[in-house]
Amino acid sequence: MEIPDEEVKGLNHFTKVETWWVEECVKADEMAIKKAVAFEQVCRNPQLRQLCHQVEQAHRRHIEQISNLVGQNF
Amino acid sequence: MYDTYSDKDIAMELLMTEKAVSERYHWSTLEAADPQLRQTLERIHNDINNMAKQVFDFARQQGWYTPATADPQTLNAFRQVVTSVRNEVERIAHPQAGIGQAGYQARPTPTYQGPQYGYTPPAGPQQTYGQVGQQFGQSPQAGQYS
Repeated sequence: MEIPDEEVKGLNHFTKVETWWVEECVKADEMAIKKAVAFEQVCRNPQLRQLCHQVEQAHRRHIEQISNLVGQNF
Repeated sequence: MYDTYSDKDIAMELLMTEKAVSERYHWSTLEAADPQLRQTLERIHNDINNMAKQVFDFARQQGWYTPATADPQTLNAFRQVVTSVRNEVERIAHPQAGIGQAGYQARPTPTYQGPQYGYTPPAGPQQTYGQVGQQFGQSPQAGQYS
């Protein structure tokens, strides 16, 4: 059964649209982390390896930030 | 899984991934009603774009990412579309002062160096220009920028 948007908002201050999109974001971050980790292991160029590591760390940070924000709203 | 990837493949895949994630955050930001959530999403979106820029710059430095410079025909079509749209919106904003009449002054021709980003093949933009032209019912004026 579809949950009305207002009910979702009432529970955690987020609209259903917001939850859908933020979920998309964290899934995308997860995908980016997995790729960056795999790339870091196989690439030869040290500068590129460093970039992969930075990308991985950045996306981990994003998930942490979203997670903290969502935690405050439950 | 990525054992057969060259460093170039990896860099390009990394860039495409950043673009995909950036797109998600872009839409999320636009859909965010909660101010705190919106601010967080904006910040992360900006961070991803900066990350993507680093990958982009690296790929360019290595000579792996070299979007073709627009040829004169494409540039001409591009300028015509921009000019046509500008003229059209000018006409809508000031219906009394027609283009070419007193009071209307064309802006100087911009120096366009071609797109710096993107994978768009040459055929794409030309089709798009044609569609935009049809949509606005304005055919570009040849030689307007020459």
